[in-house]
Amino acid sequence: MAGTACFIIVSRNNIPIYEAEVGSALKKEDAAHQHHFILHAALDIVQDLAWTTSAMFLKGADKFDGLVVSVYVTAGHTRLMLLHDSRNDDGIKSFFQEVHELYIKVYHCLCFSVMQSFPSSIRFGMGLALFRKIWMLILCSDSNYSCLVILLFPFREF
Amino acid sequence: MANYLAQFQTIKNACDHLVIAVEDVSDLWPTVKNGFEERLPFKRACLNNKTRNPVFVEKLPAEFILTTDSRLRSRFPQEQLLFWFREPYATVVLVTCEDLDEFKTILKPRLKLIVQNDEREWFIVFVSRAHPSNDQATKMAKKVYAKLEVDFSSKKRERCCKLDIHGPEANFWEDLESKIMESIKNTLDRRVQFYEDEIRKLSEQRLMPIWNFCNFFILKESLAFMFEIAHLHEDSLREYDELELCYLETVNVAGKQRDFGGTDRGADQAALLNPGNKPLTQIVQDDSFREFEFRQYLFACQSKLLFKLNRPFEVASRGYSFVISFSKALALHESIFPFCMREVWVITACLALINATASHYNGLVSPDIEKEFYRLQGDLYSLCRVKFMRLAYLIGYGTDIERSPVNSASLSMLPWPKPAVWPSVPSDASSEVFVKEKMILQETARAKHFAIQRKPLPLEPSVLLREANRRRASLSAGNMFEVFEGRPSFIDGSGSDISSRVSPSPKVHGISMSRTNSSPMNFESSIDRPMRLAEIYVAAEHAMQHTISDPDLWKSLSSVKEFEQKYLELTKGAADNYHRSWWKRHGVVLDGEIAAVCFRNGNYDLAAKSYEKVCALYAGEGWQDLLAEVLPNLAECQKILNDQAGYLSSCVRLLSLDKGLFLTKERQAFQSEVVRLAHSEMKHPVPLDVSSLITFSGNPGPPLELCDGDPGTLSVTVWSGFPDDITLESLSLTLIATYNADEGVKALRCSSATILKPGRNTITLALPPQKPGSYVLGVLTGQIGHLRFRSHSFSKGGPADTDDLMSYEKPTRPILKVFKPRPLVDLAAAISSALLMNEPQWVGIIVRPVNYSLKGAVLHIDTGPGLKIKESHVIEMESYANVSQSTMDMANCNGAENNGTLAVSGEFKQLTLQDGRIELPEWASDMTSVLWVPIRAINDSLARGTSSVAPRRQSIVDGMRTIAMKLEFGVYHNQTFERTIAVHFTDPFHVSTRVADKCNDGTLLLQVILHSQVKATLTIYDAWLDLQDGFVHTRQGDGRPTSGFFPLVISPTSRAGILFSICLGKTIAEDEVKAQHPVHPDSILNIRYGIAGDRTIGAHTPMVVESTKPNGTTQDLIFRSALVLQRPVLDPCLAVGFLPLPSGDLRVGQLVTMKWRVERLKDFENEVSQNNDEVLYEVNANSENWMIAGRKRGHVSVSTKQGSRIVISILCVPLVAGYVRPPQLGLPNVDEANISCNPAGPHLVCVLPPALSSSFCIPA
Repeated sequence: MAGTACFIIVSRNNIPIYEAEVGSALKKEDAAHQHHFILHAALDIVQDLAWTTSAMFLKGADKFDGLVVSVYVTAGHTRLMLLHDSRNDDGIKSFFQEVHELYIKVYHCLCFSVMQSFPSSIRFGMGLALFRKIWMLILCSDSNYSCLVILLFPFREF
Repeated sequence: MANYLAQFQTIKNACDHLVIAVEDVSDLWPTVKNGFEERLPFKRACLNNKTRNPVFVEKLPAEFILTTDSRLRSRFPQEQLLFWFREPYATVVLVTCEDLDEFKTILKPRLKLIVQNDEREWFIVFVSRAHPSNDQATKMAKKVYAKLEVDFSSKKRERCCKLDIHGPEANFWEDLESKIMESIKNTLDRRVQFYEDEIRKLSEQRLMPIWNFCNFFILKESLAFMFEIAHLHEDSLREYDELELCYLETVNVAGKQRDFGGTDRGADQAALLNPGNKPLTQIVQDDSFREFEFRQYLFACQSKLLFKLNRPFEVASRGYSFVISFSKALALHESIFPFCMREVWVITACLALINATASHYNGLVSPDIEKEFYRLQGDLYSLCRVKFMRLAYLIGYGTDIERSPVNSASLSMLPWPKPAVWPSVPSDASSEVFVKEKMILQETARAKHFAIQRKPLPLEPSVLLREANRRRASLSAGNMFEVFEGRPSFIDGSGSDISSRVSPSPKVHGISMSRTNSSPMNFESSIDRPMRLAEIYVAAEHAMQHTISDPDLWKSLSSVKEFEQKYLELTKGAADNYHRSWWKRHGVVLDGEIAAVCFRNGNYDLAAKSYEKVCALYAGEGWQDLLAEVLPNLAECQKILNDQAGYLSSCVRLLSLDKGLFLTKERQAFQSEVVRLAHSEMKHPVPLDVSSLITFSGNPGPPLELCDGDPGTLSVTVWSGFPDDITLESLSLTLIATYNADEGVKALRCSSATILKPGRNTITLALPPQKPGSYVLGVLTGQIGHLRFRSHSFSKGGPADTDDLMSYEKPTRPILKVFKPRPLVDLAAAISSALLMNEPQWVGIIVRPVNYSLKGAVLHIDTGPGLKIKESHVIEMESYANVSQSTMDMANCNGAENNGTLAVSGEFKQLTLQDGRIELPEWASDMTSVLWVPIRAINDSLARGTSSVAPRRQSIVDGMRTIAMKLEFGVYHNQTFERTIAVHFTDPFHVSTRVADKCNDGTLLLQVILHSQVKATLTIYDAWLDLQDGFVHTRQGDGRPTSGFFPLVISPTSRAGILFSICLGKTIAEDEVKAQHPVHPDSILNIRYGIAGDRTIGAHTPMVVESTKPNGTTQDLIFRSALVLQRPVLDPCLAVGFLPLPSGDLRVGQLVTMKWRVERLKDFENEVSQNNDEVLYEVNANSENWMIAGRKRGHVSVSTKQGSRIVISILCVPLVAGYVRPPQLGLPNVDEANISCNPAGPHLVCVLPPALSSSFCIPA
């Protein structure tokens, strides 16, 4: 990536959960939230685009003069968004794939600790099948797991 | 062929429907004309489209034209071919004939002539004028028509139909319509075929040099037009699309076009929806199509068709991309256009599209399309808005444009217009320049609220001053601006003119110096002096005035106010449309722009509302960078509106944003605002939620554990997000019981003012006694000034683990556990066996703390009746370990003395009792200890010995004494423990006597048996017996047994015996007794003894007051016990014998006669007395066991003579079964000593249970 670029991971509920200014260009003071602004506005477009294609990688979802917004939408609708000025679709795509892989790894670690944090009585009391199902649910949807925790909350009664 | 263009256009304009030719052979047209034209326009026409698929067309307009009409006559065949679309699509031949011969001779040849032209689609309408009543004529007409059919209709095609003017005509019109339709369809097919062939031919030659787009265009458009008049709009649209494609492919790319066009006056107004804006002849020049006009023309045609197809959405979507692509095309040719022509064109194009699509839009589409439509409208509006802002900036209204992210993002990336030469200042505009200059100077950049210093966002891609001068001077003064280039601020494209002028920073100031002072100096002599900013503005304004032909648009740029109005209109339009689409973010952002304008205009109410929307969006989605941009504005609005609650919460939100987003100074400003408001008198004080700012958590580690009823201090970590110290007037924290919701919450209050440092603070709260359970932290509330605040959020435990996402989900950790009530301490007596009565003794009280500190505990001791604490003596305390140790020692040493072992340990203390309370020493707070209390039980009564015949009745209660104790302990002496312990006291011995032998000489050997009552070794040093009256010691001794016996050692709980030899003595008269010896009527056994015991076990050596203690020796103790000695019965007068019961069983409920025989053993003759023969008897019986019938008490007479006897019988009924004591006969008047009983003592009889009653069990 030659020029300026801004990378943001936006969670399923539109909250930026990671951001980084990448690229070699000089970081302007005002550029940071300019970039944020562009990426935030691009969410509108991504939400339309994401359902029109089965591909995860939406190249050039939005353009802002020189800057291009490339987006990678995961199955759980987490969006990896990159604002960049040079067009290197293959490079960006592989970058996204790497990030996605990493993201899933980190995410699974989190899930694991969530599951671990359940009292053992729940984990064993709810039966293996249900437990496995929840696991699968977490693994399939790399979504915000808080809903799951809420879902499981009634089990605390055990 | 280009020559035909003009003609083509006129034809096109003149003709907008199908033509049907009427060949009026028999002058019938005037008659039938009305009937025919009533059928127009045709309903439900069915035509073939280009792909030969049937298409139903509702309402196909058409016109009947007589062939004799001039419009059809004056055409050259050549033209006919080219503009074939206007030729009639069907020919109706109107004939009538009433005579067969006439038909054959005249009409038929003529008709043959007419229809021989195969090109035309024709059919014959035979009009019968015969009246139905006229049979002859009708018949004739039929004949002629039949003939006509034979001649002209073929099997394949019916070409005739008959119209009876006077007759019923029901079928005719349908017939006619279907025939016309058939003709039109055929004609259309044929013509489409023709055009297609032609077009294909031309397309094949497309790459040849002689190929002319004009021909292709005419053919293609003719076809398209033909479809259009046939109402086949889809096909028409397709043709236009193909035409556009072909144009872009062949003409545009080839670079053949010489003239782009668009330089005419009024070209700045987009004509993309008006196909007739310019005649085609003007579009085409020298065989080349001017792109500017032609593309707009094509788009106009397309949009016209789309509107006809009722697809305004498509117009908008095609229009938007057309505007974008066309704008790019304009950019390529920008140098030939007037200044800012491109921007103006885009503005007008967008507005035209918006208006046209909005007016055609009827909303009858699927929701998806609807959303998309509004989105496009929003896009058009915002595109228009951006360009409009650009124009305004060039004129100098830049200061009125909010430097918001959205404006900056769109404007700073939009390049400046690139005219060939930047417009220069007109010569007569010096006054305007002056005005602008003044305006610039008067303009002060609005200071950001809270003194936020942030570099303003750029609204320009590069510095306008430089750009304008460069473009202007590119020819002549190329080297001059090198001076600018060398300066860093100009290389940095983001430096804005406005900011650099007013910014106080020294660096920028230097630049402004260079511009205002040095530039005129340097360049004044120069021919081409660089323009100043004001001049640029004025020049741009003048140039734009020339460019813009639309008076409305120019008006909206004429003044700041007009600009603002238009700007607001565009922004609102964009926002509204975005809101109606899915793109809420775009909409909300534009709301922010509206808010900015409202704010500037002083319409703070609206501004605040809009800003709130924006802030809610950013905050909801967590985009803090963006929120930081808008929130100060909202806060300022709220401040101005005096919305204190809102302002406060905005300040708090500002404070709770990421720290990196604001400088410390700015954050301090926020805080000072909060504090200022909090201390001011707010009209409606509102609770402030500072959850994001002040967070709290319990201390790490296990929760505080308290016993029931204990107060404590709770230490809580509070994180303050304030940049400075903040004083909280009060602070309280609620505790929520985790397992019982009904318990409610308890508030802990920290009444004194607390100062929170930024970051971590530890706050200690006094905790009153709580109910048992486990508690979590609830809400933190408090006051800053007059303001109540509350915080709900638990901190994640500090910045160290901010990455720990889990902590949000973690169930809140209990901070306090209050245990269920449990014994915290135990008080028990240390001794297991009895202590000595009437002697000072140590009573040991074991104080055993149960996992609870007894620090500072106070013991209240209260003795029960018959017990006294020897207050003169000190109380000893030692650890229980010592005691058990010493007991073990003692066990090892087999009862050896263990003095001194207590003193060895340091944990020994002598205490004194003050007002019945003792303070326990500190070392005893955590360990089991024993408290030795000197005590003395008092029992005034003398111990009584018992005879071996009647064993002693043991009563523990006699020796029982109680000590009530109350222990106050706990940190605040809040815990009490009360216990009453029972201590058993006893005499050292129990004495029982037995007459061992009655010697013949009257000596009685009295055996005294000493039972040791204590668990201590008793040593008897001496014992003597003081005899009662009537007994004397044998040999006149002193009553002591042989002294060689002593000392006699009695092991614990064992017995020893002493023999005394006594004999009966004279009985002293009672009076004498009283006079001489005020002694006890009983004999007294005196024992001098010593005791060796351990106080941990029980009775022990009584302690003595130290002063009276003889050195080394223990004081001997005296024990006295009364013995009852009974003189033997020597002269029985009466004998009472219980007669045996009658044989048979004694049963419950069965009467039985008890008999006693009373026999006089002695004569009473010498003893004179009245009623000597009368003996009083009395029967004593337990009324529960026996029912007695008869006299219980009475006199019987027994003669005074010796041997006289009498039997007393009493009827009794036993009431209970078992061994019971029978009734007893007593003689109350006779001294017991004179009665000899048989049996001597009490005895028992056996009573059987009642016999079964058989009365109910009669055998059958």
